[in-house]
Amino acid sequence: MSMENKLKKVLLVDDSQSTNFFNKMIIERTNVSENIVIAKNGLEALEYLQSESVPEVIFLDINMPVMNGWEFIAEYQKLKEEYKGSIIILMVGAELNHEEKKLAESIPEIREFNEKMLTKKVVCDIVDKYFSYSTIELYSKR
Amino acid sequence: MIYRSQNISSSKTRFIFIVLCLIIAFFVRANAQDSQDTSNEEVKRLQRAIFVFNFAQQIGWPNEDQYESFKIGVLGPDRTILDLQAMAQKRQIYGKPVEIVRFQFIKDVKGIQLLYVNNKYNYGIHYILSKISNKNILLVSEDYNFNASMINMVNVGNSFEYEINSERIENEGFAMAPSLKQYAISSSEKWKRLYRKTERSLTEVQEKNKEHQTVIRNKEQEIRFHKDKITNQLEKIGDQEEEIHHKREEISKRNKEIEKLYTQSEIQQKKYEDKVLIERELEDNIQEQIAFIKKQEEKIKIANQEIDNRNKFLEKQNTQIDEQKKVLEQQNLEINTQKKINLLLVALIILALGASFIIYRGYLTKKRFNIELEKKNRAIHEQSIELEAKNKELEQFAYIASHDLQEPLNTISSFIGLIAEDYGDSFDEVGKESLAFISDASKRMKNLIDALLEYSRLGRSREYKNVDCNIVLQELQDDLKKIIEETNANITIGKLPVVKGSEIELRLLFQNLISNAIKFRDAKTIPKIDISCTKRGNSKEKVNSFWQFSVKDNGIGIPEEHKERIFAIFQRLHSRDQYQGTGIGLAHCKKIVESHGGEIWLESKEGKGSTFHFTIPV
Repeated sequence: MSMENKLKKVLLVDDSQSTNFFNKMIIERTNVSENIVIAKNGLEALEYLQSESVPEVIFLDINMPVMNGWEFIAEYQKLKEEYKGSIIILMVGAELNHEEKKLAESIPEIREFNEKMLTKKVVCDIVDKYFSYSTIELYSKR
Repeated sequence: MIYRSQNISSSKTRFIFIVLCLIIAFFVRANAQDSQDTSNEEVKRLQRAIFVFNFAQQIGWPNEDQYESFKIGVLGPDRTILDLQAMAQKRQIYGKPVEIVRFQFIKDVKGIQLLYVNNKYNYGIHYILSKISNKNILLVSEDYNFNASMINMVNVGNSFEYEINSERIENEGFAMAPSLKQYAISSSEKWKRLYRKTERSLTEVQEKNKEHQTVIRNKEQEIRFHKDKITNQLEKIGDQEEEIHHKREEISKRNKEIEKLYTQSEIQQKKYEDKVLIERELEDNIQEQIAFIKKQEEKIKIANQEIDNRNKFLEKQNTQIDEQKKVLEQQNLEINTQKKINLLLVALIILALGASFIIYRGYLTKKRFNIELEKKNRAIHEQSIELEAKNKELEQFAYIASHDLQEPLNTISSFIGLIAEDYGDSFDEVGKESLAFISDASKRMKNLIDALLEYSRLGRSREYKNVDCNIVLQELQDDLKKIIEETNANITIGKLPVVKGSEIELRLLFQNLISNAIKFRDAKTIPKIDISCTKRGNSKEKVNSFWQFSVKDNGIGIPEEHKERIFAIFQRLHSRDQYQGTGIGLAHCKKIVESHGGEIWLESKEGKGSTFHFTIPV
């Protein structure tokens, strides 16, 4: 992982402390991001997005109290363009059912589904896919 | 001289007398033919008067010149006096006018030349004779005993005969014309003759009577014959019969009397007067009888005519009856046919009623069955709804349970990985081995949860399509290529049909069966698998026919007691070390087959392989 590719900020949105602890550690170990921020639900994440700088990647859990993942996305879509620069990875605890799958596919902001518990490989693959030079080029052209 | 002149005059009068008698006789006979009682009586009365006058002419009185007129006396309240008076108007006796005098008593009799007395007034003849003796009175009597009087008139039929007692006449000094004697019934012989004559006429009459009787009998028979036919006529004829019977009785009475008379006449031939009386009465009676019979005959004739008429009417009626009989026969025939038709109709109606009753009963039982069936169906429907609801609940439960279990399990296995990576080397042997067991268990648990999730999802798909099983198996062999090559498994597949179903589920079904067939074998044995299919049930009816698939292997087989158990979820017959797997494969198979409307079962001998059969409806 080269230093030029290092991300500024990654946002983990999950109510489970254990998951947040594990995923934060995995991302730290892959050393792809300077900052790792944690929000406990959708509402916290929204507030963060509007008060701080926008993270490159958001790892979003679905089942959360106060505001769940779907509700968060609905609100996210209403935000000004300046707050909407993130790649959203939907974190899935168990397999999605048919309706959930359809709903997720219909939302363009969701780029990936992933197992809740990250692995180093998954993190590296995401960064490689969306933030390597060539990828950035492709992405910016689009 | 006087006598001579008397003789001459008497010869003259004799002639006249005879002629008169003849005329009278003729007249009487002619009259007698169609005898009428009243006219007969009148004739007889006239006759009587003539007889009396003639007697006077036939007798010569000794001192006839002394009288200025000729006097005739009548004894008793006799009506003859009128006849004699009438005669006296027309005739004279010896040229002298005639006077008629009535006497009530014999002692008063005097100053007359002739006395007429009838026996019916019961004057004693001897007393009269004693009183008139030597008074020159000629006694002319009627119906007195023979020889008792001087001249005695006798009623014979419709005429008179007379007898004279010449001794008495001469004793009184009368001269007698011989003609008088000649025509009189002078002797007993003559009396007898007369009697015989009457007897003859009587027998004649009797014969006639008999004839009439036979005629009557015939008529009776006729009447009896007709009696049977006509009841009305019968009554009439019955009355007539009675009358006839009555008359006959009278006749027989008379006959008896006649017979009695016969015997009496033989013994007492001298009592002629009585007999003549009886005779006369008899004759009258017979005449009456004859008249009555004639009347009767006429009546019978009329009755016969009426009977004839009746007979004709009867014949007419008979012909009518015959015609009506024919009509009746025809009608009877019609009625018979009608009867038969009616009987047939009745039988038909009874049959129809019976049939309808049976049908009705069948209908009722059917209805009852239908109601019961409907009830059961409703119950079954309710049960099935309930079952479905419970099934769904169960599936939901299984899904949610497995789904929600996945997350913590993932967390556990992730942290185990973290610990093993970071601190594995610093663990001692027990710690390392424990970590390995935990990792293994969490993996197995993950597998179980995945299988359970999949199981709960099976049968949800209701979108059935035509699935060609040949293609499915072809693809499956490709998917299982690795394990088939590793085990050198020999799979033979017969011609398989196209069925309606879920392709994914059918693929899983075959996959599980083939995997099991390869998996459960002795290590040395090379697996041999036969897959075939036959059509079963009624080929013509789509509803009841089905495809029966068979998957035969040469594996370890399944004991009889476990044949049911192996289809239950998470049931294992062997340890995981021996044969791997979650133990849910056959549960999947069962669920797939049943959700397609089929059945699954197996035949097996331990150590010699098993054959799994399942059916899919056509």
